[in-house]
Amino acid sequence: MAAAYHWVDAANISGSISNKTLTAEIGKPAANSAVGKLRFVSGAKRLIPSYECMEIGDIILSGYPKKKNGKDKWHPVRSSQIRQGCDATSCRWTHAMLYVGELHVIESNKPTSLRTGVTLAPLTRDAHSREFLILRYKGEDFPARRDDIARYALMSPYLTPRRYDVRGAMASHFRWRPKGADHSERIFCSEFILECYGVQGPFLVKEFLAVTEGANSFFLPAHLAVDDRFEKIAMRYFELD
Amino acid sequence: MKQVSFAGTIRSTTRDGRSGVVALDQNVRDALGKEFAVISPDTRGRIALMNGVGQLQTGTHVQGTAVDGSEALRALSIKAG
Repeated sequence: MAAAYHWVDAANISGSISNKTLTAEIGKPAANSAVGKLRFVSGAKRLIPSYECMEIGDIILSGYPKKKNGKDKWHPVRSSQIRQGCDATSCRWTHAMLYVGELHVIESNKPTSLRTGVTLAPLTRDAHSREFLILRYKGEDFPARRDDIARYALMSPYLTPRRYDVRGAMASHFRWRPKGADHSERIFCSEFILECYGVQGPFLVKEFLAVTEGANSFFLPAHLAVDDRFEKIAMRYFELD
Repeated sequence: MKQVSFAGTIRSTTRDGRSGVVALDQNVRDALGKEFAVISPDTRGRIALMNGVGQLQTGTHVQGTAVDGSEALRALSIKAG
């Protein structure tokens, strides 16, 4: 019988961190926001994603941990990605966020809470229930562009509020968007990242054009997960004392 | 990153009309080995192109200066022409 699947264990826990240290490191408002969203994880561990392994402008993919038998849980986005013909093992990544520093991400969030659409959120919100994968663009010009990518994303929810594109996400399941994407009022997570990278990189420009102009073309978290232009970095955690 | 001159046609714009993708003219493509330049909100000279309609217009031929990036040019300044 195969060993039970664990997504957080000693191998990816960097150590412990006290609330005081966390506050000193990222400031009181960010620490309060981060800790306030914590939940207890297996064995009453309270996990803080290690901000030492993330850099501004990184893409964070998230997905539900596998079941204990190692099989993936059903998820509508995973199902859509499989239908799109994405790599099967990458389909488990069902959400994409942009890291903007201080343990916070900007994302186009699914309408499962009052705060939906393009919003700023603490990464700790999902740390208790989701696995993370960090993607870092490999291009030599990326370090010089990362701050501008984050700035573009951060200004977006204030200048141009957009809701989560439920219809677009559903359309990806049926591979049906004959007129290309209209991001004027709605956008979903990975296409929001695509816009930020396309405009301020400029990276992923061909994919950005394909989605905005091409019929029935989508850009999903699994596409990011298999893209060779990104370095894949496993998430590490601190345990909160 | 080296600075280059470019010319091309605005092929696509973002929803707010402040940014867009320029398909480079064939001679520029051949010279630089890149297909696109991207206009961002940081590009100078956009305002003159946006005046009247409030957004960049696809099909407009532009020229300007840019920084050569790993995938595309990043436009620093543009003007019609």
